[in-house]
Amino acid sequence: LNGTPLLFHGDIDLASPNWKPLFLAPEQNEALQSLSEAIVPGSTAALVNRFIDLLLSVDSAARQQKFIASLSVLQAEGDRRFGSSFQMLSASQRDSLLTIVSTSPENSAIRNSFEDLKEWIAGSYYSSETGMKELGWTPNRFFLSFPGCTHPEEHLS
Amino acid sequence: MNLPTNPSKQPYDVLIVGSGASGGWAAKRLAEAGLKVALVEAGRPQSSRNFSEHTPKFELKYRNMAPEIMRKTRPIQSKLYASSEYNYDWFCNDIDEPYTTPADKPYNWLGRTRMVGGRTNVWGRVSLRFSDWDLKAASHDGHGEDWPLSYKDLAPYYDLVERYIGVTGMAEGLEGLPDGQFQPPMPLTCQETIFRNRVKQKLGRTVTLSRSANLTQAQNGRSPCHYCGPCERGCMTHSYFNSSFTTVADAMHSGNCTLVTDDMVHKVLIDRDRGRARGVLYIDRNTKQEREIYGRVVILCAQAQESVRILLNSGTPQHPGGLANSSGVLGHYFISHAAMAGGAGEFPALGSTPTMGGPVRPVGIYIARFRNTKNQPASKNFLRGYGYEGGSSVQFNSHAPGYGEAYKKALHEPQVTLRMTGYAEMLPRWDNFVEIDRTLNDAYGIPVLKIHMSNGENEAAMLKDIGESAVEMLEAAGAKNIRMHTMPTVPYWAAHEAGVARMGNDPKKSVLNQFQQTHDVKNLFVMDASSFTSNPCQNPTLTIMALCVRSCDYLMDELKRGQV
Repeated sequence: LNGTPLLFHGDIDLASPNWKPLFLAPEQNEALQSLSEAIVPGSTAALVNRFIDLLLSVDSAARQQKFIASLSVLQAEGDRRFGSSFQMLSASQRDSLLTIVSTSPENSAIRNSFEDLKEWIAGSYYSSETGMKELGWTPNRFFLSFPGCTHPEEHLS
Repeated sequence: MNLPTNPSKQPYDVLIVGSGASGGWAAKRLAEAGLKVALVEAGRPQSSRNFSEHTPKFELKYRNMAPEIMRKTRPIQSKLYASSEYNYDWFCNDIDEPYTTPADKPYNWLGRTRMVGGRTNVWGRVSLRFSDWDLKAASHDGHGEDWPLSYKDLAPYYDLVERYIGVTGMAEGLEGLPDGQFQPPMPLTCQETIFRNRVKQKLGRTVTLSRSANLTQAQNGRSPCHYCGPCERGCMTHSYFNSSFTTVADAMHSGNCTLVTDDMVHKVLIDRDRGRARGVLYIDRNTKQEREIYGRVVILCAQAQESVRILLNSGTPQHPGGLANSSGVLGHYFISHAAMAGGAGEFPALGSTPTMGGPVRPVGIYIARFRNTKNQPASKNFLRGYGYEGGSSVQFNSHAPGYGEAYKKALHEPQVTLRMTGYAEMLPRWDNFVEIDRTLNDAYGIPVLKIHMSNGENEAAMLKDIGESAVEMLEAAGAKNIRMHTMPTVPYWAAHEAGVARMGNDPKKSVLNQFQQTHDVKNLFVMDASSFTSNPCQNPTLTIMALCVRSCDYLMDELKRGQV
């Protein structure tokens, strides 16, 4: 390959300058991109919104609807508090909104929506090459040993 | 490697159906002894080109995160943990190869691989011996039948198989879980060591390294494990046992084995005048044409239900209930391991940190059976017993709160959880059975199975005890945030199916003798787990292989004596 960067199958379409969402409406995609970057910084460069759109395009109708509902709940909350959709908020407004939704009572509709979107965003970011490397992944998958317990006698009590 | 070759029109000495754990061993044992063997496999040839154990998720189109993609063609096979976007095409297409169940008895028939090597491509590798306490359980508690052989009959074959496949393990001196020929053990983690020590001290139970077919020393051109993790996606260094690159490769190397792939065996052909098997009828999966192949001896190693499906589909006017079924028990006494009960708890990290860049041990821990053992008082609630598989792992904190950089930082806080899942021996019952569903054929025109499987009161009581005992042990070890699961909402059985062509001394109550030879047809053998008379809680594959080699040695003796 002579140093040519590998283009991975999963990223070829996502990185295209002509990329268009398969499932999300354009304004939903823009909101997701902003939200992803705010929840997991680095998401825009890692094409998180584009990968989520790809996953949603082949997912079940129930999960598609749940995702859109979660996105709508956060959009509505932003609109209610600041009169604008998420992608149009200032940095401090986004921070205020995410602080509120991420600390809302557990199992409230707004908290559930936040956690649902966070799971999609974090799952997509940390399965990207950038995200996996952040968690320590390297191409080397050969290890000479497994670091087990070397002092079992200390665990006798 | 493992290139298929054209089958001969002339009869082979032995036809073997299926190239998994038993079929691979039968081919190796018989071909290396000089017999001309044809090995007929429903799946495709396997090779290192198909292995993806080092491929990161981001190289997959959907990063193994789009379950609907697999469900389109594998709605059942995708339920097995070992089936993923990486390898789901190793499994049968559930649409092409359906089966049926009664509406009130859902059953997931998992692990139906369609590759040379069969289920050993993706198996969990746990390799445990049975003991006489298992093989003669009926004499101890009065349920079912004893096996027609004893531990001393199997022990030398366990030795032989373990030395060849390579089993990492720790000797424990337990009568109910005999020690074997182990390679050096992979180490336990600190948390597992704490658990092992405290469970032994406080409850007298044995927690050990799960005895597993992963090399820790090189042998036969295979390298020691390099701890990359996902064995079920293959292994370029051949460090776990997989028939495709071990037994089948040896059989091919002998020059006496013809491998015939992509062919679904429909039925055993019978010479009606002599009452002998003369070959098999199979369907070419690519052309869907029927073909025949002939052998002086036929050995079915197709997986428990599949072998019995072939026999049930081989009925003739002389054998209307299926071939080798004069007893009427063929297809009955279907057994597996009742599973999905267990527990989990958290332990201190003790300096360990999570990473995606470190070694992964392909082996867990095993908790040996402690209910209804030889020197224990009998349980009031159930017969037989169970063992647990489990292990500790250091994970990222996936529940880290918040968002932004603070969330990314909190993600790295180590979470150490020790989990365990029980595998319970099922009692053989007549009303758990498989039969041919005459209303449905698969894509190859072969009538499919209807599977009737349910847990009885004994299994339900064991699943409850599995959950409660898991909590008891986690508490003894000082775990925090302990969770218990006792009964799955839908019954779940491990892919450890057995019993549907059981062995026995009495031809009226069994299909096979102790050498897995059908009572009815002298040159017809069934060498997979369908032969098991009962299904002890230990994982079955090591015993499948030991029984198979023993039966092959018997077959060769009988051939020399002109008795087959």
